Formats: sequence, structure tokens, C-alpha cells
Amino acid sequence: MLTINNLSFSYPDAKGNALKDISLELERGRILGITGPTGAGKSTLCQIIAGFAPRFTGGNMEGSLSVSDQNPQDLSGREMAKYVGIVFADYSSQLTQVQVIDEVMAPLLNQTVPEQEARDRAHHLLTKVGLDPEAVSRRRTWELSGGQQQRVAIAAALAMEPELLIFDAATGMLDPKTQADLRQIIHELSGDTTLIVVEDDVNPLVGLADHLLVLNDGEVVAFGPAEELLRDRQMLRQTAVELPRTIQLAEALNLDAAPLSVDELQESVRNLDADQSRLAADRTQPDFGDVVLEADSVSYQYEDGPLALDDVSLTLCRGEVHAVIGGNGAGKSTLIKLLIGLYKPTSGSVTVLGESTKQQKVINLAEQVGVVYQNPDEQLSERTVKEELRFPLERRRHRSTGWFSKEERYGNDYIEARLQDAIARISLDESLLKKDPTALPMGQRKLVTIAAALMLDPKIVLLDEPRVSLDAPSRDNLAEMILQLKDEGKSVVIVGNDMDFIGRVADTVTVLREGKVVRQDNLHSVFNQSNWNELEDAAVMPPLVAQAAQRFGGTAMNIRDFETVFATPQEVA
Amino acid sequence: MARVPIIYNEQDTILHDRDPRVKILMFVFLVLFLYFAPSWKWMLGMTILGLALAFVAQLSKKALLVLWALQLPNILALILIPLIAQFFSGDGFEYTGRLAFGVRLALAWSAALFVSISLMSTMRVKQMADGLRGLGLPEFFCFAVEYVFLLIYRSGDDIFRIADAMKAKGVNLESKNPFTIIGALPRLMVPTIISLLRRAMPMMSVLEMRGFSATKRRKKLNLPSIDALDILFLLGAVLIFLSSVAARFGWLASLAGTLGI
Repeated sequence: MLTINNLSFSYPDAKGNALKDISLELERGRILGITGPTGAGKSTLCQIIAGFAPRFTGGNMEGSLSVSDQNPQDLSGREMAKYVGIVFADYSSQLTQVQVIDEVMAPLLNQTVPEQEARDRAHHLLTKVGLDPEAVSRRRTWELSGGQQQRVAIAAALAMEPELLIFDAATGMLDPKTQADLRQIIHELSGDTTLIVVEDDVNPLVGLADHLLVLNDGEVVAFGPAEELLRDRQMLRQTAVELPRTIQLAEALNLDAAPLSVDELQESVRNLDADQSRLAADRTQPDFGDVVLEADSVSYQYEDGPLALDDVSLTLCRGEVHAVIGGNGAGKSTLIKLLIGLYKPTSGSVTVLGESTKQQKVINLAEQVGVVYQNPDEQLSERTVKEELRFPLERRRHRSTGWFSKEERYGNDYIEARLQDAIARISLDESLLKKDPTALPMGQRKLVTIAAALMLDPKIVLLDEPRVSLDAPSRDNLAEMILQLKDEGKSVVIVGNDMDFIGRVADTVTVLREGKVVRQDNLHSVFNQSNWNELEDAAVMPPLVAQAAQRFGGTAMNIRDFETVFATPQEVA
Repeated sequence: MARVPIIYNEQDTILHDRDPRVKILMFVFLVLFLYFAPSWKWMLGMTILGLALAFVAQLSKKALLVLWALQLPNILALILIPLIAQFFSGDGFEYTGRLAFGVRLALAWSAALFVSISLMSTMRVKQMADGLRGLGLPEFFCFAVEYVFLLIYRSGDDIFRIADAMKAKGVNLESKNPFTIIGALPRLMVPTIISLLRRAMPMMSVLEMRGFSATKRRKKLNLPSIDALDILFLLGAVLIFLSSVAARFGWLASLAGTLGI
């Protein structure tokens, strides 16, 4: 189905090759997982397979490639669409139509499917990806949340029924329930359709991919059966790929086994004693400082749109990391925009450091509240990463003291010191400072916006899906940065779909469902087993670590807690 | 949410139900009318017809007023410049020559706005493009129209999001002082252009991936069959256009003389 021989590719004006001597073969109906750190060449390979590169990107390609015995370079985009479909990470750039229903119907109409049949099939596909056709069909595509837009893009790609379908880091924006549904869809498609699933995090590939391709710096590190390679700790570590979570749990228990599921983990252990008392009290009952941010009975209705938030209250204290979780379209990003003052509540109030946001300008609020949006491309505006990072301070460098006078607020030394601090916190490579931020890979663009949000040294940091598109080392750095901010007495609100990441950094959690708070408490209480059904209704699943801990009769939200709670086990011989 | 203005007005009216080919042809004939109409009275007539079409299409009065207000500087300039020129050349404020031409042009401007927005607001982008295809225009042109509209709409949302992000970054776009806003706009322009350029290429590739083609026409267009009411509307537009041609070349006056009217 897919044959690649000695494929190398370089982008125009790039110094080295983005891909070097790639060779692989994939049979029809198989699921190939591709992983590797940022800049490994994963997306470039997908773009070449889909025929987008070098046709749209320019660049030089060597070697050969065939998809279903066709060379993508010899076919027009329209002809290629029969063979290959792709869903990529940037959800907004792959939606082209005004109305949601048109986005899914257009590929069908272009295949001369009669209009009524196309409409019926589009409704079916929207339902398949977890959207209510009645509720979303007539809405404009850009009005949906990021996760909902990604679902529409998936439905449109499915509508083409290509022989090979690529999901290029396309699941990060999806809520846990939809991610699980998509796994089911991929399983159902396999056999007839060949699938390529690209992930920065290997965990979604466990139990899904038949084969695994590990790339690093444009080269093949490993290609083979997924089951075998996912257990290869040494290879994954050397490639800076995070180990599957169950293997991390096994390591936490000092086991030699490399389990790929909780069942396998359980089979590896003869006896495991949970001692919950070992977990420090402050992990389950955290104590914080003064209130820094408060949303009081906030409701928000979009003009001509649905009620996005309904009577939401939230209190954030000094030194607190608060997670906001829930399904796609639950109102999480809207809440972030209310907290930064971009939206003013329809009713209720938001108070930042004791002052209502109603009368405050965003430009002033942003000095206290740093924000990272879902899509980094909305935030990047400067020619180099360095200018991008300096921008918020440069804009505020002087304060007007009269009609023709001003005084300096921030000197060059201060700005430079802030820049060094910001890039150190997120371990941003200094070599990137001279580069164009808009031309960087998605993960690095995200890191730049995170660093930029820290430049004003805000007391509160709002992070909307910060983990999406980050590779394993960057995810670790992000978690460390959040915990460091907390130790410094800063407060963080984090919106995310990776519950294991939430379990690692959050103290308190708000669960939203259709704009309403369904649960709000400390991390351990929210993810208590008695709430799991309620969480599932809100499209949320507990962290895998919590599920594993529950299986062994204990409670833990992250690997460190897991290690603390469970006594040294006896391994099955 | 609904911050991005789009031309299509979601209603169910007699104009919405018309075949897109008919509406495009009506638009062509009514705009051509403006080139032939001999006096301000004819232009005023077309302005009123444009408003009547807007009423039938159930266009929001507020939207119509805002669009007209946006054109007001042009309309005023079309009247005031010839008026001032006429005054300084010693012809006073008499309604002749340059002033008459200016008033005619100003009315034509308003008429063109009302007619085009009334007809175009009743067609979705897809219908408009299929209407052009149905009229046999080259596929490249039809695809380009569809692509440009979609690109503008999708980029419209980007502009609002970028503006939101720029506020937090320190660009004062919330000031009540218009000069501050104008001064801040260049800061918005650069990322907007970058965003537009960034979106253009992936959008083109995604459209191709979804089976669109800039050169190869779809075998089956989604067009309704033309009915009697469509023909009536089209005939009306043709008659209006022909009457302006007749008036321009004096045939209407001759006909009136012959008939003794």
C-alpha cells in the first residue's frame, strides 16, 4: 500500500535535510504509528505522503514513494484525494467552509453524491465524531471550540473515504472521551483503510498501532511491530520519547517488566500493598495563600450564539494550580477569555487581584495575568523569536507622564534579564532566538508563546491547552515550570485534555459540562473513584495512573504519588 | 462568536428561492442599467428598487445603514467636489453640468450598493460559485471567486483572534481615542497579513484534498431547475435594462412621441 525508498527531503533555504534516507513498506489495512521529538520530520513525512510537499512547500525531494501504486507527485491534488486524506494538528487551517454541514458535505458533493444523500451522510459522520448534527450543522465553523473544529475536520476527512488516512497530531485537542471514540473509529476503519497516526506522546499509540516508526532529526531510529518497539525503553529514551505510562508505573515499582496495559502491569505483580498514609497531607488537602482571582456566578452568552457559561464560580489563590477540564465545547476557553478580560460577563463578575475586570482594559490586566491561547499562531507577530519575547515589555517600555513627556519603566537590562529568565524556565533553545517564530514547528511555536506569557512576570498565568504538540522533554519542562511558578507563589489556571498531565501539576480542578460546573474540588476528590461515572458524562476520564492505582486498591494521581503509595512489590517470576 | 460579518443573510424569502444564475444575471443587467440611465431620476428609481429588493430579502436595516454609512464619504465626495469646482468656476450652485453628473454618480453608487447586497446576500458562497459555473464561466474564475470568499471569511475570524492576542501583548486597541486606535492598527496589519498568507496555501491544499479543483469542473452542479418565477424576475431585470438603453439613445422619447404620450 505504502512504499518509501531512500526518501530524503529538504525545505527551500534550509541548511540540512528534514528527512534523510527514509525507507519503509506498509501493507494495506494496517495502522502505522509515527512518533519522535519536535523537529523529527513526522509532519514533513506526512505532507510528502499526502502530496502536499514539495508541491505547496517547495523544496527538494530524492528517492521514491508510492501510495497504492501511485506516485503522489504525479497526481493532481484532487486525484490524490482518492488515495490519501490527512487531518493535521492545526485545526483551524483545515476548515474551509462557512457552515459546519458544508464542510462535511462538500467532499461528498464533489464526488457527485446527490445532495440529500450527502446531507444524510454528513449528519452520520458528525454523529460518529461525537457532534450533535442538529446543534452544530448551521453554525459557522470558526464559532466552534478548538476540539469541535478538529472533530469537524476529522468528519470531513472521513467523508472522502481515502485508501490511506493520516492523523497528524490530530488528537491533542480532543477531549478524552472523543479520543477514545476516535480510537474506536480507527480500529473500525483498519482492515479496509490504511491508517497513519502521528503522536508526540506514545500513549495514544499503545494498543492502537500495528507498526511503529520512530523518527529523530529526520532519520529512522526504529521501524517495526509497535508492540515490540513500545517496550524498548532504551531506544525510546535515547530518542527523547516518553515511555508508555504503564512502563513508567512498572519502573516506579522497580519492576523489570515492560507492560503496555494496566492488565499486563497487574499480571507482573504478585503482591502490592497500598499505604495511603505515606502520601503527604498537603497533596490531598492543599493549603494556599490569598485569593488572587475570583469568578462569581459568571454567565456568558455569545452574540447570536449559545449560552457558553452558566453560573460558573471559581476561586484561585496564591500558589494554586487550578485545572479546568471538560468536553470539547464545554466552555473552557471561553472561561479563560473571561478571566483575562477579553470577554465581559453577561452576568456575574470576574475579579483579578481585588478589581473587577469589567472596567479594566486587557492591556492593563495582562500585566498581572499572562495568557497562552490554544493556537500559538494567534499570538505570534514579530520577525524573530527574540523580538517576539521582548514585545510585551517593549510596548510598555515607557509610561506617559504628560502630553509630551514620558518616563522609562523597563530598561534594556531588565528586558534582557526577563528574556533569559523566560527561556530558561521553559528550556527554550537559545539558537531559536534569531529564527522566525511563525516558521518553527508547532511545538516550538507553542513554547515561544509560553515564554512570552512569562515576560511581564505576571502573578497569574492562564494556559489554554499548553501541552498540545509538545514533545516529551518539553512536556516535562512545562510541568516543572508550572510547579516552579507555584513554589514562587504564582497562580496558574490550566485548561487541558491530558488528565495524566493535570494529575501531575494541578492542586484543584473544575469540571465543566455544557457551560456548567459539575464538580469543583481538590484534585484527589474530583478524581475519586466515586465520581468516575459523573466525569465520563462530562467527557473526562481519570488519569491512567489513578485507574492503575485503583486496580491495586490505592489512590494516586501521578507517578510520584503512585511510587509513594505502593510498597515495593514482589514481581511475578 | 458571530463577529465575522458574512454577506449571506439566513432567511427564507422569494429572492432566496430564486436560481443563483438568475440572480447573477439580474445583478449584471441592473448594474449595466446604471451605465445607461440618462438622469438622476433614473438613478433614484434604481436606488428605490434596490431598497425594495433589500426589503424583500429581509436584510437587516441596521446592516444596510452601516454599509451605506461606510460609503458616505465617497457619496459626499461625488457631490461636493463638483459642487465646489462649479462654485469656484463661477457657475454658482445651479443644478447643471458637473453637479448633475456628481448627483447622478452618487445615486448610482447607492443604487449599486443596495442592488448588489440585496441579491448577493441571498446566495451562499457555494450557490454563487455554482451559479457562475451554471452560466458557463471558466472554472478557474468560479473557483477563484469561491476560494477568495472562503479565505476572507476564515481569515476574518483570525483577525479578531489576533486583535485579542495583541491587546494582551500590549497593543492599545481598546482606546476611546480614534487616533490611538489608528496608530495601533499597523501592529495588527503585520500578523494579519502573515496569517492570511499562512492560511492561503494550506486552505488551497485542503480544498484539493476535499475534491475541489481550480481547473476541472464537477460533473454535477447543485442548481435548482429554473421556474416561471425565475423567468419573470429575469425578464423584469432585462426590461429595466433595455428601458435605460432606450432612454439613453432617445428611443424612449421617440416612442413616447409616436404614441402621443
